[in-house]
Amino acid sequence: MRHVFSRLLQLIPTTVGALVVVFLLMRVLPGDPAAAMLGTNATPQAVADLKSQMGLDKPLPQQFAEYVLGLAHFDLGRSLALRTPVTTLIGQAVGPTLLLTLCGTAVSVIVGVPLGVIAALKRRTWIDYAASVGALSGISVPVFVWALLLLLAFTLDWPILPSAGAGDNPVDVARSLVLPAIATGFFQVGLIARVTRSTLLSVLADDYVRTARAKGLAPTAVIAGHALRNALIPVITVIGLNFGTLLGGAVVVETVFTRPGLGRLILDAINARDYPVIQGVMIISVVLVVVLNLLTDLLYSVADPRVRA
Amino acid sequence: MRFFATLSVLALFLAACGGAATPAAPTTAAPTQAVTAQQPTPVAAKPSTGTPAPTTQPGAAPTSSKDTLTIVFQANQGTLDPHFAATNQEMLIIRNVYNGLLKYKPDTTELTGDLATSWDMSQDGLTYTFKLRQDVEWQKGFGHFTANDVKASFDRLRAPETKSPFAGAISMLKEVQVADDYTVKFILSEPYAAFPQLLTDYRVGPIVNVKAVQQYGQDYAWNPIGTGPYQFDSGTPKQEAVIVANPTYFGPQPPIKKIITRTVPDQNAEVVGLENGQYDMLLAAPDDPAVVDRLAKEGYTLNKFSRNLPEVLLMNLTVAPFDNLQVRQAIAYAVDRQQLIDLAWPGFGTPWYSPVPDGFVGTTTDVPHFEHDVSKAKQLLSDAGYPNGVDVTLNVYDVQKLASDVLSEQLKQVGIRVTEEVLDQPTFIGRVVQNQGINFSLHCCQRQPDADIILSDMFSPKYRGAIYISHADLESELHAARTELDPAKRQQMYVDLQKKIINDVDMIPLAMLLDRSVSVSSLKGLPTLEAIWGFDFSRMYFS
Repeated sequence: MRHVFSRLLQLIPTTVGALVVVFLLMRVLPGDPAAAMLGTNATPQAVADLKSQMGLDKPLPQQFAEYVLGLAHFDLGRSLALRTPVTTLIGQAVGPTLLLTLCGTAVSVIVGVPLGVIAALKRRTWIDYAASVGALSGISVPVFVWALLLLLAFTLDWPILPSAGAGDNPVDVARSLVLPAIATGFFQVGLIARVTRSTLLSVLADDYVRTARAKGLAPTAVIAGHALRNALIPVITVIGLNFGTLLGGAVVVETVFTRPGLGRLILDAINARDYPVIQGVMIISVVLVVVLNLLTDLLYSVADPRVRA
Repeated sequence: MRFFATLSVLALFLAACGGAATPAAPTTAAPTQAVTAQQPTPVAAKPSTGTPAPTTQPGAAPTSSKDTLTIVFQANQGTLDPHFAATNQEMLIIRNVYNGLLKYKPDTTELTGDLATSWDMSQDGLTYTFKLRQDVEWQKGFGHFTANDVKASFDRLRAPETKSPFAGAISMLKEVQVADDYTVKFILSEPYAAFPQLLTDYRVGPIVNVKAVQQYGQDYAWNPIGTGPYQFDSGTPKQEAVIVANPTYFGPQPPIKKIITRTVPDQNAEVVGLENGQYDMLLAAPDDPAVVDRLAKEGYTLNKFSRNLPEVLLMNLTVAPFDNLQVRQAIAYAVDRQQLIDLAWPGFGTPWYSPVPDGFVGTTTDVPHFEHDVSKAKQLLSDAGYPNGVDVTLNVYDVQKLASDVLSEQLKQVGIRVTEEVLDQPTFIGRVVQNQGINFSLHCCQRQPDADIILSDMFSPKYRGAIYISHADLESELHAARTELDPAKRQQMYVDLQKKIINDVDMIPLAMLLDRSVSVSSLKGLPTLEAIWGFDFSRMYFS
């Protein structure tokens, strides 16, 4: 419990640090939101009017103070481009992105763990080598390449799944999630398979596994009940640490598959120099990553009771 | 198999990543041979009655074999409030939901009535009186349209608290007076010959429903209420806006009943969506000519049409080396327009030599031509005191990169060594309007088709805009021309001014570019010329 509490406390300096960096970085970047909105219609007066309407003519410390004050009331401000509260925009976007990231993780676990187990059990056979090559290509090929290949294969050559959108009803939501989840999860398949294979191999050499075998347990019971459970801790660590990477991958996947979500939101916000939205998404991402890392820690104790001690 | 196609698509993706930041830039835009420039009609200068508004187009409205048109683009729609909307994508909705007092006749730059049935200008050019249609209803039960609505819309636009970026564009308007329910007067502080151009459905012109503005407050941006052929149905900012036929529209019902406009940020996803039947039209043709060719072979239509889009080279005349006339002349002689078009805008550009774009009121071809001449350019550069060449920085925004590469090579041939600085559009425009060191640039824009609107933006410190790079001051000549009410005299003033601009090499016109979109072959009724951004969807139908 104390561990959980201290981890939650760490959240505060992490978030504040990220906030200060993002706030300052955005404002030293060239280009301003008014010019972004007006494009070639901009005139100095029009840009000044729009900036004043957006509140960007106030001194920087005042803008920061107002922002932090708002934050204390869970008010992330209003989008400069859309004039919608940032919390509303994030509220709409966070669901689809979490769904995508969790499904991506599920894909990588469902494919990666068995692949790693098979590779470990069939060590130095063609199956092991094939699994290694598969894992390597999964890590090496960028997310957008998988995304485009999947798009071409399953929406054009065999048009069985939609190429864009997030769906309006449960069936469409599921259908529109298949390709993005595979694209998101695939790069992690290789990593998980590699980690599962190597930790399982080292666990299989341990004394207690030999004991379990010696007392006559079926091979599947030895693997599933004893070896794999202990081998899973590093795998859980990899999944937890990679959650941030998956969120980053969501930016690309959401763009290619035209899905709403945090990735699309922040990409649009950066292009429009929509500072409050960028800050809001950054803060939410920091919180998400820290909380999920905490959950990863907690999962250790489920997988390995020794951690609880 | 498709894997070769896949590889080219991947290359395209990389290219698209570079261009993602640019919303409404006239990337693929361009006029050419196929489109004849329309003869400008200087309606503004006629102190007589304007033409009555033919709201119904001649002939029976075509029927459409399909009810829904889905059109996609990479940039976002940020706001649907016309007093803030600026981009091509936003104008797709604005032009179909709202009406102005005037509009351009289809495929021309000629003005005709929209909400106005007729109009006239007083002899002194200070009062414009508009007679309004009496059969107009606001969408979604917001009542009957009268002259009070016109006044309220312009008052809202000009109110300092609205902070509309377009208020400055109509600074000559002193007051809007309601004479009776269907007559409205615009009182100007000084004559402005291009005034009627401002009253079309672009920037200041669309008439908004102020009751709805008050009712929705900040949410009005995504609850637009107008009088046009379509009304807003649903939408999510930056993702999608859907409009449906307005049952109370005063004109004929549009053949296509529902228009879905959607942002698809990835160009490859756009193409795949078109090919698998999810979309009917790509607002901008793909950048890669190979992909365009493939789509054409598959039976899709590449629509090329004019938006009177110029492409120009601008220089800051107050900084070295551009403050030297001989250097500017050397640059002008170094440019090979045809090569630039062949390499950067193949099939959708034509060489252009005049400061005022083709199709605009006030344009002329009677200007000196600086034709490509390397030895003359080298000589001029040497005479200017740069016998060993000179180093310059060319600022462009990402979508102009290819043209900028070609141009840099051409300049290198005469000894002008170019460092290209590529910026995203917000940075580029921000630096131009804030005067932060953009001194040499390939650039341009869409403007209402009148010489004053584009030249003032380029050369008047008073009306300077996103294309004011020259730091020249031609305001006195521009003022004289914009307040001249005799069309012939005004035309002559612009001809003289353009000769002066070219002789002084205050800028270098390069080409007129065509806009290009790709659609399913059954989609008909596309324009051959659009004077402003967006489309008139009520003309379109599926065969």
